[in-house]
Amino acid sequence: MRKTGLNQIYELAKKYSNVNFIGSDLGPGTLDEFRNTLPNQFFMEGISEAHIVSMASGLSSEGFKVYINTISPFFTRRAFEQIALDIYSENEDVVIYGNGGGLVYGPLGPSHTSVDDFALFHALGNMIILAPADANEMEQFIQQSYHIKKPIYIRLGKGGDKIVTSDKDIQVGKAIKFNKSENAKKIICTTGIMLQRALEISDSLNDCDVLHFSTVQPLDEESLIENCSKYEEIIVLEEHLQDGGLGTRIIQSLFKNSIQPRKFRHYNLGKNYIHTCGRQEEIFDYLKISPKYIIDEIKSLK
Amino acid sequence: MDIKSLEEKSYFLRQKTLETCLKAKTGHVTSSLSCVEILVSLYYGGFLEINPKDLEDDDRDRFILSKAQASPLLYTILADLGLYDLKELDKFAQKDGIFGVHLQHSVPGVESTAGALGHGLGLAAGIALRAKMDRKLFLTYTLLGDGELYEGSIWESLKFASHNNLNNLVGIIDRNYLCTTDFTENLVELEPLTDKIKAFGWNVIRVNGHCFKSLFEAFDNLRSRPSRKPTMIICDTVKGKGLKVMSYKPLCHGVPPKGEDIEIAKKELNI
Repeated sequence: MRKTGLNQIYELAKKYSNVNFIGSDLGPGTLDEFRNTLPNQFFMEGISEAHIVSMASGLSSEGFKVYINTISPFFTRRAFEQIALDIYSENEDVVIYGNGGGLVYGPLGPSHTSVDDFALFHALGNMIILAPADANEMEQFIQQSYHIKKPIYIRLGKGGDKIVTSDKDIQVGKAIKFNKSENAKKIICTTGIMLQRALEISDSLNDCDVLHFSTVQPLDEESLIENCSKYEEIIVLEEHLQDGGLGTRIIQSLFKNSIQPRKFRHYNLGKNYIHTCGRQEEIFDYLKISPKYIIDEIKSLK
Repeated sequence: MDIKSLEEKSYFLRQKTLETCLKAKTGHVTSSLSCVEILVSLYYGGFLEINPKDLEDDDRDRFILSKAQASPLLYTILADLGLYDLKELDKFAQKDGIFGVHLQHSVPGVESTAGALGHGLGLAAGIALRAKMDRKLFLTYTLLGDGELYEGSIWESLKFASHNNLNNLVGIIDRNYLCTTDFTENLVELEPLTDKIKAFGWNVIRVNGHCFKSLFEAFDNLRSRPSRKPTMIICDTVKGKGLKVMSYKPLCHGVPPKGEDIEIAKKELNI
């Protein structure tokens, strides 16, 4: 997913001379071809996120489309003020391409995991938040991102994620429905790479559809309302802390639109930063939000 | 403009800035007064090349006011240049006006919104980098406060600008020695500032920031890019210059004179 997105940014840069890419001390070999063939559009800076965000704002104010890239929380937490004031408040044409969404960097601990990014950017109401599930969706999003002249944050998965969206119409701002059963009584609302887990759960339950919000903000309320009013049980599954993420936003929308499901469940990463270090899937197991635990729980609570 | 006219202009801007802030009962009077001669040199001395009739001109020099608390002064200058009516200043920081206490991009002639410190140098460096790569001839100026130098992001941007040889970038530091509560050298010392910024690879010029002759010498010739490096002009100034009642005093930040100081201040500036 990460490679596909970067390659797409490179393709955009070849096509549009106003595309600039700024990385922050990214690993060797990253985008060598981009660096060598378009040196006027490629910048690899030192570890200086606050400066990079302000600099991106300067480039955007001169008419450039700027993609900035490093490990997600180093932008979202460390440079939040620069993002809020220099990018968001000024409505600059900057895409924040955040590596290691959710628990991708689980072994590295709370400094590197990006589990509060949706909450931070939900506070900035007009910022577009994208969390693609696979490389196919990422490719579509990067292509579309060039034409959206607004600040965008993209949360990246680890890469190698199973492709599950290839037969879908992917549009920024639109939720994607996966119908699994004609008589489904449950629907899982999810985002990012939890989509693959949601599909696994729905395959096992037989009466469960899935609604994928790869655009977390602005939330596709039309699709949410149209779909969720039909189901008895709404399940939200997200790789984010309990508060401020997709679940919070969905509850807000359902309440506002007087939709009251018979049951509501919210599977998330809990209230606090996770101090258990382990691989992404191991932490899902530890928190009991991997498909096997969710399937067992839903079946046992019937 | 000759020096006498520039001095008269400075006096007028000091009067108007004080009047504006007194009327609004808010605004950073002292932070504005310390950089009057700096901004007058740029806007009236011919060093900032802009055309007030064509603010979108791609070849205009850019001026980023990073120490955005000096907004009442900049707003007054932009009105004086005819970008909007001077009467707008009567509505400074009022709900039906176009200005806030800090800086808003929506005001004609203002290049960027600002208020939180440590952003302007990075932003200006982004503009200068692009201009240099695209072989554009304009200069990008940014005015920093000395209190702002405590922000780590400033030093990130200093490194970046010298590494990229941004000799089309001119930083200016309004070195008025005062933060809100105390003198900088009591808080955490900034000196030797010239050496520090030189060590970051900049061409550094240090001048008396209230002396037009010195300021002109510093700004002169920068357009011919005499150095490969970006230039920082450190201007030693007095916070509240022109108003003795508010000069050299901590806690005179972000407020106009109060109580009996109001009449003293008005008398000092003859308003």
